[in-house]
Amino acid sequence: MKKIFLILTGMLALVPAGWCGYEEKEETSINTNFIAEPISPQCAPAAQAPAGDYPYYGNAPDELLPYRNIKPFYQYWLTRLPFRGPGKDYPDPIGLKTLRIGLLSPPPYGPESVRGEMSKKGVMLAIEEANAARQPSELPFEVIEKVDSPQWGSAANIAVEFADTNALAFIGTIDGDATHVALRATLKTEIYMVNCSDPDPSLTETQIPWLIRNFPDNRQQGYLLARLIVEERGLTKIVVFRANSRPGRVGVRPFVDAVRRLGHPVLQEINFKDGDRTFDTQVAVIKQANPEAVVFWGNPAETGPAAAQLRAAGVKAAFYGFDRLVDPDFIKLAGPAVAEGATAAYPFDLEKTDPAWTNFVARFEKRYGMKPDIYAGYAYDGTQMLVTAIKKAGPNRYRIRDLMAAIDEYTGVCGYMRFDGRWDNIAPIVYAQFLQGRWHFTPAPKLKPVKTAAK
Amino acid sequence: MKKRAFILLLILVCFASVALWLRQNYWIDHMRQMSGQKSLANVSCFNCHLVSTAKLRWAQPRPHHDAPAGMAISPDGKKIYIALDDRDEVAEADTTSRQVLRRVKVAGRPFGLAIDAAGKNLFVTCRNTDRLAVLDTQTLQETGSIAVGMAPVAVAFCRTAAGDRLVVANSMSDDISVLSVSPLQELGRPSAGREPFAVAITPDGTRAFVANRMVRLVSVKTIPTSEVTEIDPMTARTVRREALESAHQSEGICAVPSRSWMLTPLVKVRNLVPITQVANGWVMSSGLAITDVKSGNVIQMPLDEANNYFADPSGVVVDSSGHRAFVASGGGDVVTVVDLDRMAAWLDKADPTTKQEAIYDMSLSPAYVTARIPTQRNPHQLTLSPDGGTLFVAERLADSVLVVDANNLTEKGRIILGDGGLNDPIRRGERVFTKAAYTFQHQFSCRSCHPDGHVDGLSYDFDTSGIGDNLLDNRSLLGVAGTEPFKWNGKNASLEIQCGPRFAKVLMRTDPIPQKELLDLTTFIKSQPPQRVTRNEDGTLTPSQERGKAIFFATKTKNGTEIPHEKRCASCHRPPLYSVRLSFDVGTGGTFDTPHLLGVANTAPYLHDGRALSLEEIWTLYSTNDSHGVTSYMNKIQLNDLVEFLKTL
Amino acid sequence: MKTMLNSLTLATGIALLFSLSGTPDVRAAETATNDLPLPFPLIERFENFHVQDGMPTHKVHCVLRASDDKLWVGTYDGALVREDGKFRRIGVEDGLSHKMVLCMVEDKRTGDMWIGTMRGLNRYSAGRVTTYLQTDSGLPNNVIYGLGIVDDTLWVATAAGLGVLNLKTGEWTIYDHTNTTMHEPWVYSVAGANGRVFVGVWGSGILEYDLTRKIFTEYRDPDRDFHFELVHDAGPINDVTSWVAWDEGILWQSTYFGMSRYDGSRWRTWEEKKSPLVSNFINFIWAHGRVAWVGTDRGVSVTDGDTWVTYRANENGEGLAEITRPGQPVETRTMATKLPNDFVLGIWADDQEAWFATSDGLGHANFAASPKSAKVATAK
Repeated sequence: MKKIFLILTGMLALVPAGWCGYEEKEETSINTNFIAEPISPQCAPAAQAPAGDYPYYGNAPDELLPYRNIKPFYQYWLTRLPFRGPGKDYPDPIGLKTLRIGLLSPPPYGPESVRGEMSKKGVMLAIEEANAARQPSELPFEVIEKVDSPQWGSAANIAVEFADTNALAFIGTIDGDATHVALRATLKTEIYMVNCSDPDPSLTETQIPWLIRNFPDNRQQGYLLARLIVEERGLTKIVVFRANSRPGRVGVRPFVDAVRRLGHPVLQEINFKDGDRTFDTQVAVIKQANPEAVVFWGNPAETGPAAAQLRAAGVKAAFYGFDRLVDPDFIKLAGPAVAEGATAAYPFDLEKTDPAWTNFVARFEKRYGMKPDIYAGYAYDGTQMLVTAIKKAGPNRYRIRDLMAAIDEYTGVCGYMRFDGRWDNIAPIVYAQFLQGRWHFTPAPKLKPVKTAAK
Repeated sequence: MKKRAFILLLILVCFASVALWLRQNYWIDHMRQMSGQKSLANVSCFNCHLVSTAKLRWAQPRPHHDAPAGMAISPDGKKIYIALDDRDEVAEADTTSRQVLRRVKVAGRPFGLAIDAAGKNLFVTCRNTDRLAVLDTQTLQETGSIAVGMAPVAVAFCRTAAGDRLVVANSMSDDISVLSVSPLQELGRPSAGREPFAVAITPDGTRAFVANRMVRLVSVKTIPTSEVTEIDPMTARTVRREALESAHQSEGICAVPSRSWMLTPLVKVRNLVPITQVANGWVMSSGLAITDVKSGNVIQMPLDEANNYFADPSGVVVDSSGHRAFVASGGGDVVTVVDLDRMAAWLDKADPTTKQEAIYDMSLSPAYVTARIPTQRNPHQLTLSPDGGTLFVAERLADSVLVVDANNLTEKGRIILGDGGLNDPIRRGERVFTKAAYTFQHQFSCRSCHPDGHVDGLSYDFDTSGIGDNLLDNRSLLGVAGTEPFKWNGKNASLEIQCGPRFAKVLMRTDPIPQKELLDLTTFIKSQPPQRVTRNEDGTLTPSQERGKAIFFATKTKNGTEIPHEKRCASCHRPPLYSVRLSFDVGTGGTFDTPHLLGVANTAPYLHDGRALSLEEIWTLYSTNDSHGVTSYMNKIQLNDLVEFLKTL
Repeated sequence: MKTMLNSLTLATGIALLFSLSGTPDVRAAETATNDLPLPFPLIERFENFHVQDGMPTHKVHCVLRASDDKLWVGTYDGALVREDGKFRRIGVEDGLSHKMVLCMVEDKRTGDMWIGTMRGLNRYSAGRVTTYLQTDSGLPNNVIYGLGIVDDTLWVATAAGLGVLNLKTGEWTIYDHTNTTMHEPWVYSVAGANGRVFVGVWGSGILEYDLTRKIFTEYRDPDRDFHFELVHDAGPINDVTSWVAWDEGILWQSTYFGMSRYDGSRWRTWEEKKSPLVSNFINFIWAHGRVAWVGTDRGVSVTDGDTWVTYRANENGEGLAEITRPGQPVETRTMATKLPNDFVLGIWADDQEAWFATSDGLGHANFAASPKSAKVATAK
């Protein structure tokens, strides 16, 4: 019945738009496709220029697109949204002593604090290197760090503080709630935001042309997991076990939608609260469902014990998760035996040996005495992108935005990045499997056409 | 017998042993844990247990008196109406015979009065029931009533092009109700300053001026200003707000017909200098603010003399010709007569700078103060007969109205309302409380900082260092019975000590209050109940207040984490007084006495030095690392709920 | 036409106010020659105020004509009040909690102006500024996107919830994702209606609050997907609401994905390319009668839902008025004057005039006197 309704409504959508009394505009009459975006900044050499338009947001495979069997009345994100406001020709501020970049860090005692610290290290290393390499005529960069507090909306206040301190752009943050509210404020303050760590798939969906994200988000991770679990491994009885938070709710959404579109909706979506250490009720419910796969979204402090308790209760399902599963704490808290075989979507192989990465690892280790992780890597790359744009644009927020918004590709220490119509990095990611005491990274399986339940 | 005695002794020894054992093994630990005090020298079981407000002095029945509050005179000048707020009555008296003709009950503490142009309706503000009542002057029966803001204390009637209007000062909701008379309905409620207390209308009826008693809430180290609020009574819209710099306690306001002036008595206060400098003069002095109705410019003129002060100015009236103003000095028991012509002549000659600095020149007043009419205790409200020939002075703590020939300033007699209540120690204590004679050069009374026993919203420096950097928030005296020790450092064990010789030495700079008067004074203070609060009439709490109550008494955070005993609200602010009367360090730079929370909603600013301008700031700005209770787990809704609950205490 | 000189007068004194005298650059007036009447007035010419004309900043966020006829303007650096043809600035030095003024609403009963900034709420009352911050009051968050007054309540759209201040009791109530159907607490705008309040929520469509029953009803994008407008006219065009406006029974929603209209029974939606809407990116929508003024990043449109007029600049910088009637080809007219900037952030309009807050200046539109341009359509 529902399908019939959808088909009927789809047919309605196909009625020529002229019925409503207007002549549909010719595409050429609208100058939105390619606005006067400046040329790409001088970034690391890109492999090949992209085609120029952005057919699928989030690199979504055809079979995972929503309403794919219906021609929608209107489709968004085929082009990049321009910023049409003034400002590019405003004179540079007088008397600048530094070029200020804001850094919005997560609360120091919250669940994102460790990731925030690594991200900050990546930012600071990039800034230190940029300042070390600057010419005498160039102004040094200065990082204005503001630390978020665990109250709703704090990040919005901080975004305003960045404007008050004349920051040219800012970097942050990890928590999806904070990033969203900060992003809202950028529409008013008109300060560009570089995100290197927030996996929230909805972050870039709200049509704000003041953001770029180089961190592969939960949409891409979710698609990878969906295809891996359903198509490659043939598991169809799936349970999602996630944090009861907004990031958890929106984080699993692309995965849940994807497996449904592949014909196997999840059996259950069970929640836990941050801080929980025992999961008796959830374990009982999941055990009753007898799943073949349990997909975790959350931090290791919760997912580790949860995995152990599921196994102890006799749940034999394979364990899957998003990038946060690839964490020593998960192995420690779940136990190596329980973690054996666990598989997670992950941005890239941390053990890759290309010179860009290995040189970065060496520099990072020299500076901080520890190895970088993906958060440090993407923060370093994001800062480099921003530094390059600022150097080229000068201290003008609008020109900086235009340069950043024109980036289609970038190759940094984390590897090749390609940005879609919403400025999301859609470069292929990998999956990691924990086997015999260590994580093994494997490129995403070559995607093949599939027959879905809907087809 | 011996055997019985032995057994008795044995039982006693057993009890004593058990008690000793409990003391050593349980009670000491219990007291340490529950009180949070290292030393138990000042801790007893009674800090937490066996406390009942029902036994406190303010909860006991007390005598009521015939204290006159607001007054209104009929247009023909024959009748005077007097609000007797403590009796819940309004009295009608003959202005010629000075005899009380009728008294009628009006529920809710009738306080402010106004009469319409025809003399048909008497309008009464009921301070405790937040309404305005309409009385027919023929029958003195209530013919109408309308809800207004909280604690209305003054009302003025005026005629406008759009019809008759009433302007009501709502002292506790800090706003002004503008009402149409026919039909009786509220047209608007513009915001006032803080604690609006008096209303006056310009002769042409186009403007209403409202005097506010308390200063605006500002950072403690900022010079405070109170406000004269100017509204259009026809539209209820705010027109202008004049700031009275470094001044407060304005309880009266009056238009000067011929000069386009508005007069507002004030207390000129210097709370940012050490109050120990009273001996150097004019830490507090009396003045008269002259607001130019056209321009809004304000000039403050002194009313005191260099070595003799007339504290607590309140009511003010001006004769119909605009030549003289009369100002009641509640602390000095006089009515000061100001020759406005002389004052205007001085102003005409003075340059702008001299005018602005006039209030500091204590030698000026002889130039325009022509007389001081002595009164009985605590003159407060004033009114004049329509012909300007007779002045009526409400002698609030003598239960009488003084009638003065306004032309030759001779006493005509009194309207006797009651016996003065001198047999009542509470009434006697109030007379002490409001009397400035106990302070150096009569500069101020207890009431000067504690109007109606409450607070003036200022912080004062009580440090003898003379530097002025040790500001302490003024604490309300309402509901303090049973909350000893006193002072922020908790060093005064009783009110008798608090108000005794040391206080005289440090603050009053004169001889201590005599013992008998001191006892009356403390009896009066102890009899003052907590400040009124906003609650549902049936005593129930709103959903938000209920949620806030649960937070206040919470032992766990919302995620189930145990809140340490010493970090729970109710551990230190334990009911029924909401204080265990011990000192704690809440992260504000020392150990301070725990204030009770009864009526806390209206005692801003907060914390020992008044650094928190609102209840929210206590936790959002000044409770670093949960130093003032575990509250960091709360979201904004929960904090709002907690605040809403606190407002009900 | 004549060019009138601007003269900027800097006021001295402790208030640090500036005043502006004179009128802005006005070029040749136009005469509307239209064969068919429009259901709303046609703009004849624009008078614009830029930085060189005394605006404190390029960005002007909002504009409002108060009931006493004074014009209030919210800019990136303070609020302006236009009295007797002069602008008086109210800034941080006057007690404003932050320089960036995003929104304003007047309490018409008292004349108080409530001013929302990026750091706090302000009540401007006869020269006195009282501030409300999230740290010193029940305000949910300091970033205030929208304001509305309904009876005795002030509704405050903030970055972290909807705050409702009871103007009589001072009590704050907060509505957010924890106690309503709101999926996200990022509230953008509020619009009072008869007995109801419409709340535009970023990510949650529109909430309708029934003041009598004290319940929320939500209106969501039926396809719940940001990629598409699956079927048009089926509900709110998107859950990311940038503004809501209501008048005479008509609710208008603007988004960055197009706009919607709801008359209580039927939804209509408009997207660029599929309708006369000039851009999907809409910052603001203003309802007057049954007409909406739409502020986009490509100019401003006025429509009753059927007929549209869009004012914008063409590639050569010339002002255009594009008139679209149902079933008719677009009629494009060049204008001698144009909006101060096509990036429109705020609008105020009535039957006599319209004001536009843009990213580069303030615009004042004079309507054509042509009898063919009727007054704003009103409900029968």
